[in-house]
Amino acid sequence: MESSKTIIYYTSNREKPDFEERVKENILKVSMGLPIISISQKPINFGRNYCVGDVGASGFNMFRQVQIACQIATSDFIISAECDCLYPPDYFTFTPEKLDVCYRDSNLYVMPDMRDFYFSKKEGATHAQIVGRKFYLDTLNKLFDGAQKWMPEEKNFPKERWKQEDVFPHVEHYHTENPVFQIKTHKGMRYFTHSDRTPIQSIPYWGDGRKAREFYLHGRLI
Amino acid sequence: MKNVMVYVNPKKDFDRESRFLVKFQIDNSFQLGWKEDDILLLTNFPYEYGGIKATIVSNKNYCDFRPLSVKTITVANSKLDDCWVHDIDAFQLEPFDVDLKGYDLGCTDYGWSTKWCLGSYFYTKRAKDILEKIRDTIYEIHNEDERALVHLTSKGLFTDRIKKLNITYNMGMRNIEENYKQAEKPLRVVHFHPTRAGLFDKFKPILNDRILKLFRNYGIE
Repeated sequence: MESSKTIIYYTSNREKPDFEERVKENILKVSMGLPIISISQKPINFGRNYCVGDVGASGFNMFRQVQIACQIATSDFIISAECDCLYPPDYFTFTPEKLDVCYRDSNLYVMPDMRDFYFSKKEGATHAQIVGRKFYLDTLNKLFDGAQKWMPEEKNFPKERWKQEDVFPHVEHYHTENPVFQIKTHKGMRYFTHSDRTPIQSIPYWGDGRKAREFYLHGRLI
Repeated sequence: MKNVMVYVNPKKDFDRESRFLVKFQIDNSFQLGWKEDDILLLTNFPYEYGGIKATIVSNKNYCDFRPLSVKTITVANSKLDDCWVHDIDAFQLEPFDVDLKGYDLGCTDYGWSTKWCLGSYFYTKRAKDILEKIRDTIYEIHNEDERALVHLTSKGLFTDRIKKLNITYNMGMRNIEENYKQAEKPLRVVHFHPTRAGLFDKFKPILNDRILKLFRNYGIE
C-alpha cells in the first residue's frame, strides 16, 4: 500500500459560486476517492468541511486555514487544492519519497484575468504541491508562533512577518504528465502572479484556452 | 451479453496497477459465471491471461487530452453486441442480467451528482449512434465523455433512449454511505482502486465474502 494522502481544499469563498462548484466537481471526479478536508470561510458541502467564518482573504489567513486542516488530517501527505484551480487526474497520483520536503508541480499554468490564454509558471506554486503533513504543520506552527489567530492585513505571509518569500525556503519539483492551471479572477486573493508572460493558446489535457475559460469559469460549452 | 473492458495506452502495455486489475477482473468474471467467449478485453497490444486473448484495437482510440474517455471512444469505434462496458477498476459483485426495457443505453449517475457517470454502463447495438455522438462531442468540446453526454442530453438529445440505472451498478469512491443506502441490494458493482491507501478499507464493509476472498488471494485484505 502506498502512503496515505489527504486533499486540503481551502477557500475564502470569494470566487463566483458556480465557478467554485465546477472546480470542486472536477476534484471529486479526478481524485480517485482520496479523502478531502475543505476549510472555508462559508460552509460548503465538500469532503469534511470546517468553516472558520468570514475572517477575510489574505495569505496569513489562507495558511492559518491550511494549518487547521493539517491538524485535522491524519494522513502522511497533504495535497493542496485551491478554489480557482483545475487539476488533472495525475496530480493526485504522485506520491513523493520524502516526508520533510515540499514538492511542487512544475507543470503549472495560469490563465490571467479576462484573458483566454495561458502563461507558464514553471517555478510552481502553493496551490499545486504535496507536502508531508507533519512537516507542513511543524513549519506553519513555527511561522505562526506568537501570532494572533487571523490577520486579513497580512496579504503576503510570511513576508511581512519573517522577511521570507515562501513558507518553504527549499522546494523540490516534480512534473505531472498533464498540467494544473489556475484561472485568475479579480475576486482572488492576488491579482498578479509571477509567470512567464508568453501567451500560450492551448495546453495538454485542458486544450484551447477559450474553451477552457468558457466552460470552467462561465459553465458554457463552446 | 458480453463483458467488455478497454485498455488503450500509447506505451502499449499495462501500468503496474492495471496489470493486476485486469487479471483480477478476468478471475472475478469467471467466478461469476461469464464464459470465455463473453469476456472481451480490447487493448492496443497483445495480451492473454486465463484463456482470454485481447482483441487488438487501433492506437487511434487513445485520447491524449482525456485518457479517461478512451473506453467510450473505443466502444464507439467498435462493432459490439449488447454488453456491459466498464472500467477495469469497476468490479462486479453478483451475477446480473439487466433488462433495459427497450432503452438503448443504461447508465448510472454519481449519487453525489445527478450527472451521468460512464464508469460502468450497459450498451445495446442500437446505442452505437449515441456513442459515436459522444465520441465526436468529446473532440468538439475538448472534454470528457461524461461531460459530452451531459452536454447532449441537456440539449434534449437521446433523453428518451437512455435509462438511468440504480447506483448499485456503479458504486463509486465518493459518498459511499449515502450511495449504499440508495443502492439496490445485493450490490452489483463497486468502482474503486483497491491498492490505493485507505480505499479498500472504505469498501470492505460492503464487499461480499466471495470477492473479499479473491482480493485476499491477490494479497489485498
